[in-house]
Amino acid sequence: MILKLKHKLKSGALQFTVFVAVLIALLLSGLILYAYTFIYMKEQSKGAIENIQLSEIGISHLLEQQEMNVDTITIDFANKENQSIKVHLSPWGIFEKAFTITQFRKKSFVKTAIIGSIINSKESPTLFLQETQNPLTLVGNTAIRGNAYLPSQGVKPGYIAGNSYYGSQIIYGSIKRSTPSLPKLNKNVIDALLFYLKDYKPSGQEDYVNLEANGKIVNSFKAKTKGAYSKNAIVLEDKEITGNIIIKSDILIRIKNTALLKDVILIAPIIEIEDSSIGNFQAIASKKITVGKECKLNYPSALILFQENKNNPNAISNNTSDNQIFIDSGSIVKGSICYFQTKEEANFQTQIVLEKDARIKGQVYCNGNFELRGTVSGSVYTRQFVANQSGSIFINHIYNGTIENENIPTIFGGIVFENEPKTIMKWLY
Amino acid sequence: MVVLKKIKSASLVEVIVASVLIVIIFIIASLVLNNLILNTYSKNTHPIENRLNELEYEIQNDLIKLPYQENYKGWDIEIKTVRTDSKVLLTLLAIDQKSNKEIIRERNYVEK
Repeated sequence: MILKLKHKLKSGALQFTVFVAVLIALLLSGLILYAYTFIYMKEQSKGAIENIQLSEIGISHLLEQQEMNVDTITIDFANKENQSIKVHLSPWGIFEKAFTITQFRKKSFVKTAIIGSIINSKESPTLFLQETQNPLTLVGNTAIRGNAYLPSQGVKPGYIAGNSYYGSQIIYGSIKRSTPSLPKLNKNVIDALLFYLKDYKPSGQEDYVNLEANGKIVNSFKAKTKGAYSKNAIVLEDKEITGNIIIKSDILIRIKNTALLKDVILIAPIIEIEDSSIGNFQAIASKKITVGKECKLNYPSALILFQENKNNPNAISNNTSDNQIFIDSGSIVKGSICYFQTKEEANFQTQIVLEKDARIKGQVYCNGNFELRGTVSGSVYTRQFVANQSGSIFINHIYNGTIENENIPTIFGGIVFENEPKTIMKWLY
Repeated sequence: MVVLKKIKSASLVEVIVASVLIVIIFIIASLVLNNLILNTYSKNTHPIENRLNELEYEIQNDLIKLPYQENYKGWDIEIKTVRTDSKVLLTLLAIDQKSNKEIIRERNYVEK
């Protein structure tokens, strides 16, 4: 049969034509396939680039947003199909965490950052002393450089134990009138702190991290927050803990200088940081925070003491180091130091102590008494200053302290105030 | 020569049919090719997209004032801000003068 067919086929020219046609068809289909894949790849890479550009929009949207999200929401943005931007704003300690995910087809891009209110070191208040009808008194080698918001009685030089004020000028900068209350914080901040101190617990088994494990513990900010909780004291040593992790104890957390903490949150009534520790974390306490000598806490760290004493305002403990944030000499804290209390009237205890040669680069917000013997670069908001010298307590005195708006970037981020513009403090991973 | 020997001379009808077929195939092939190449060229918006990126960067750094208009390689570029109820949007619109093709980009605009 085949042989017969072969025999019958005589049309050589037609055969040749078909052969050429098939060849051309193959070539063309190859070309089309090539062009198609080329365009497809181009579109994909364009989509990926667009994703990155659009994530910027998500972040700037969150910088404007005041309220927290419960869910991840899609923001309305007129753009091409298959492309979406989703944002989520949640509290992260005293700051906020912005999370943006942009999607193009199956490609997605995630951007996360810690955000806080803008502090402009040239224009924002360098010193804000609440109006208590009490003048500010400067003694010794004290210097205040920058914009000072002071009570109506103003500022004057004074004496403590035979030492007078040694500066050539009282305030090196402008003086403005302060108000009878400190600038208000965003309400979400207080809610978040109360939640952390009272209710926070890792919800499911998969959310727990094992602190006993040796070596490195890492959790990305793109994943769900993990936590560790103990009813007993927690001692952190010989460990590296990084990322989206919250550690809570019902009694005490002690950080030894062999532990390296990055971006984590620590919650306990008492938090002790040993001498020469290095790290970058937020410590939220309800009784006491102590920072040892020669510690180095990097930006954006935060030490927060939240004291709920509205119901028993007269309960004064005998131990003077209770209910205070104590920063020992030689330490550097970059970030925010905050003291909050719920009762209104002032007392004579000291709530934040900054020792000699200790340094805060950033912000101090003290709804109580602040004893300044070191240097603050950035800004100080306080109800009162105190100086415990030669057995007496001097109200609204600063003895050998420095507050300045130099040696610090012009714009940086701090705790979230009400209706203030926000900025990015740190990009997360 | 052995191969050639096999092909015997073809009839006239056969040759005509074959050549018509070949011509048709070539026409189709050239049309397809033409289309492909033209498409890839006209779809190439790299230069204008690059220019838009550049302008966006300049706006972020306050180097140009809004609203802004320019002509770039046969494209009309127009940049303006649109105020919606809560926020300010920055719209970058580029229109090709020949084909009326449009590229629109919208960004959040942060006022300084």
